[in-house]
Amino acid sequence: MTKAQFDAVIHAPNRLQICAFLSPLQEAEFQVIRDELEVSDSVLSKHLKRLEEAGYVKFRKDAVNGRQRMWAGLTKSGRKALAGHVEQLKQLARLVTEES
Amino acid sequence: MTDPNISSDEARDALDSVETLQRSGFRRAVKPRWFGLGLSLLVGIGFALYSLEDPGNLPGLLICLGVVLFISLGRTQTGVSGNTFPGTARGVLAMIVLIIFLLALFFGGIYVRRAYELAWVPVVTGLVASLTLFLISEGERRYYLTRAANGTR
Repeated sequence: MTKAQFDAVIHAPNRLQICAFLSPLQEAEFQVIRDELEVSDSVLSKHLKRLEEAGYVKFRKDAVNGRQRMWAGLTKSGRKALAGHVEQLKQLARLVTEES
Repeated sequence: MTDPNISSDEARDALDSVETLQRSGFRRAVKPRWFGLGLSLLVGIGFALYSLEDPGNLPGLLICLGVVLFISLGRTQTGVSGNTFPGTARGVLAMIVLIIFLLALFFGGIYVRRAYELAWVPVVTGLVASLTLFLISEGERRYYLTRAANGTR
């Protein structure tokens, strides 16, 4: 069972979206994540860097037709942190359901 | 770390956002049908070829290279790669059973063909290998499509 744990790094809207998008995947290309989130390259880079610093995201680079492409994927601790954070959100959301 | 400043409404909005993006992830991970079909045909040809007679190392190397190129092409086209390694004990067990089955089919095919000189053995091993892998790829495709449509909540 996942332990509910609020995570301030993940909770920022764009970072939560990045983690949620990557959660069913092994990895995704930078451009694909950018298109899904509808953010600029610089905004995505900034948030990915923050997630990498926290140890939640890892990068891999490869080249296709001479073009550099960057792939990002959640680490094991990133998956664990996301699951804990989502569990915490569910508990908070349940409060409003029970109150109303 | 806990944050008492998160309201219940904010939590629900965040959960909705998680759900939407997870569905997008599943949708992106759906590979086209030609991917599973091509990959299973390639492996099936390899199985049939090796139980036909000893073809040496070259065809095996070419088929392995073809499989790697095929997987790489699938990833490049979709821009994502799904979680292929099973995360549950049941999934790991299913993968072990599959590997044992394919190895038994491969070496069993070679043995039966050589020991009894049955001409139809390569066709059967190739077909069984192709069909097995195609069904698995279809199952994976359906899993991602269902998750993309219904989410995980």
